Amino acid sequence: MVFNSVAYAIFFPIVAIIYLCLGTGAGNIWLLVSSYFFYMSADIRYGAILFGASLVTYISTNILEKTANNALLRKITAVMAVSIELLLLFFFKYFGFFNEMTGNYFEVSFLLPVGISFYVFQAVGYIIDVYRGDIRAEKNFVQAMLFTAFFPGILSGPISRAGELIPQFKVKHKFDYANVREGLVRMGWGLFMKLVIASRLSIVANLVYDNHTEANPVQLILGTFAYALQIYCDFASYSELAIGSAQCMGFKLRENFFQPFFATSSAELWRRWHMSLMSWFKDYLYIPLGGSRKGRLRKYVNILIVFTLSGLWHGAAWTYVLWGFLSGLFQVTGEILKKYRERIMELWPLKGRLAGLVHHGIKVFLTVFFFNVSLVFFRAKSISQAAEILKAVFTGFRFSDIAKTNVFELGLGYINLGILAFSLLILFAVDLARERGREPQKLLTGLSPALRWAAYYGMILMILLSTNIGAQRFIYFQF
Amino acid sequence: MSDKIRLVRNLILLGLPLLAMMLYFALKPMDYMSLEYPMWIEEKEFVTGRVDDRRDYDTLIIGDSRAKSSVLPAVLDESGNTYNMAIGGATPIEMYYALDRYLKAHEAPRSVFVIFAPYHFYDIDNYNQTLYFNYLDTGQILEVAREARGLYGEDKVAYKGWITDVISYKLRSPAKYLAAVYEALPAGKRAENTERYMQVRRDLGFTLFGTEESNNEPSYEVHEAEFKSSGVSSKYYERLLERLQAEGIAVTIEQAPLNPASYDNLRPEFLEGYTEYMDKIEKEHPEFTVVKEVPRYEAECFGDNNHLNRTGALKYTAMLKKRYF
Repeated sequence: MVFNSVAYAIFFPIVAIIYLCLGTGAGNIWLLVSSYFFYMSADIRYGAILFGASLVTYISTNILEKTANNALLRKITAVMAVSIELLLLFFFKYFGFFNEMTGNYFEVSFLLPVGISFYVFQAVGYIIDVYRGDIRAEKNFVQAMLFTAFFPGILSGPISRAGELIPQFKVKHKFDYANVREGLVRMGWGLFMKLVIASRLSIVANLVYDNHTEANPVQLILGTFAYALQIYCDFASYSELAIGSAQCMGFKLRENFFQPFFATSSAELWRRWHMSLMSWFKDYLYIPLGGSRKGRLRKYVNILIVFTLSGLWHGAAWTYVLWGFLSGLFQVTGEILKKYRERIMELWPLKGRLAGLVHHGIKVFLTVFFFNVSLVFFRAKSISQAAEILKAVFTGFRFSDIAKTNVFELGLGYINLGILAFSLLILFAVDLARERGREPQKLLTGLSPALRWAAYYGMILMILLSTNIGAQRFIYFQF
Repeated sequence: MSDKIRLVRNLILLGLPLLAMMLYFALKPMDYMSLEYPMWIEEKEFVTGRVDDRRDYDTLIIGDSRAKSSVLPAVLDESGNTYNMAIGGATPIEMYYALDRYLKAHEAPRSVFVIFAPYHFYDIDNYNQTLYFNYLDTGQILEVAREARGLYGEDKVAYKGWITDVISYKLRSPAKYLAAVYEALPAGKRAENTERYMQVRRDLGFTLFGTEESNNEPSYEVHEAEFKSSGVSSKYYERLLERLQAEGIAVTIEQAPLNPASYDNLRPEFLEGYTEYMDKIEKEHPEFTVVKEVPRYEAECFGDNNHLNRTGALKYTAMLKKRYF
């Protein structure tokens, strides 16, 4: 079941209303049953894998809790539990990839359960937290199982932390008007980002990438930029829908995006993009590897390891691995050049607000530019296709191509292009408001009733008009 | 006002325009639907007897768009006792239920001509349109899904998400119909849809699809390597024939013409497979008249690559008249 479906529009209110009417115990059982129903609606077999991963987590965390004085046993338990979780991920997600590398030695293939990368990481994080003694293991079976299965985040995150989510299952959530309203507005905004913006951008990106050999460099740039915005709107919209759904029921999930395209460096962009995953990598991989504590070179190597693995997490293909490696490389390069940039700024300090703005704009442009370069590998079907696209752009670009390029030939007619431009302006305004510390939902509720209702109706109308346009499936489902 | 009441009130306020839209979509489909719709609704009203001039007919034409655009009932039968109840985009599925509806509301006809394009025995290309036009009742849709289980073509009628689609169509979800209204702006489509509806009614169910004076482009069948008769469509074709036989109706299975580019380029394996299929039908229903040869008409008879124009329809109808009337 996906968030942008009629089935979810029926499922969610029923689940939320009944949950809010029930007490903690019955409410959690109801949520657990509903979450499994939600997850298994795509394929009933998924439930067994989720149950297996959750059971391993439950048993291992409780063994860790009970063997507080036996360091060796704790270590063995933690290693075994994490290994089992990662083996699950390996078999279902990466087996085919590695099998292909060995010339398809094994003649078997495994079903890829949606969301497995998300809930396995969530479970691994929980096991490590208990092992480290940061949190206590949850003894309540239902609450522990619900932690990995909680439906708003199971398919595409945000990746929750046990210390944040499990305590929320212990509280009786009552109906709260402000929470429900804010949650619904966030869900509406999520649908707007997905259906109105991302689906239209998908048409441009798909057209360019499916016909990359015929596209000129300007079209390739536009297609890549469209894809960057598409994937942002697509994934951020899923997070909005997940966070909004949870909020309606009184839960608070982690934020996942924070205006990534306002970042002024690669490092900052990755602190704003898929925040729940990047913070997971930071806490459970980067810091244990030594982080920045073991010298500069080691720090750079750690960054490259983290980003390369993050690429592999996204998909079992060399394009993702290379995308991850490049993202890390740009970050490392940014770090290396940082002192030189600062030196230049000391020698030639910028004077005046305009100069500051221009400097800021250049930094944002370069950040987005390098992000787009790496994204070519993320979107391309193969490394050779990505290489062809990059070669065409970097060796074939002519300013005269700009005049020759007709944006109306990118798959969208006048009306859809107009709707897209208008929607992107709204997106920019919302992101700008958030960047300046203002919550758009609060700005919306501060409007006069007539304007507020006009905004609601306008949003609904645009969503409804966009339900049959472009790609309707969420990109991050495949991860 | 309590918060709960406030939320319910606001949700109702948000939902009211949607409800109004859904009512509009259900009550005024001629305002925004495509030009195919009047033909479907005209046929549905005809077979269910919900027309002012309701009466029984001696002869019916059953089939798809090729049948619809090939047979002029007024020319075929000057007494006015023949009606063309074929529909563009219909497969034997829709026609089986159309016949069922007709028989429930009328006396059984004396004879029926069944004309389907060969590709409709293996390809269900328009079932979503059937759902979109709300042509079938919920019970019929469920029956189609049941009947399709395990057959070739099941994915076309019981595809992933079909249940939510059916609910959306039945409830006239704005997500499904608003885009059509938007496309119909600013003038709306009522005038042209009504005109089409009246024309189809006036011409006893006949209508044209292609408007060209001549066409010699290959039809759908040319692209097929072989004829595949198995599947949902064939199952319903056989159900349709069995029903006709059970009612004691004289059945003639005819073939719609192809233009030279289509006829000459059909793969021998395709033609062979189709003829074999028709042989099988003939063997199973010896009392039916089964014409297996596909006529080859000159390009000037075609309004597009698949359909006859008026000249072609007159020629084909004259041939049928000579042969059967």
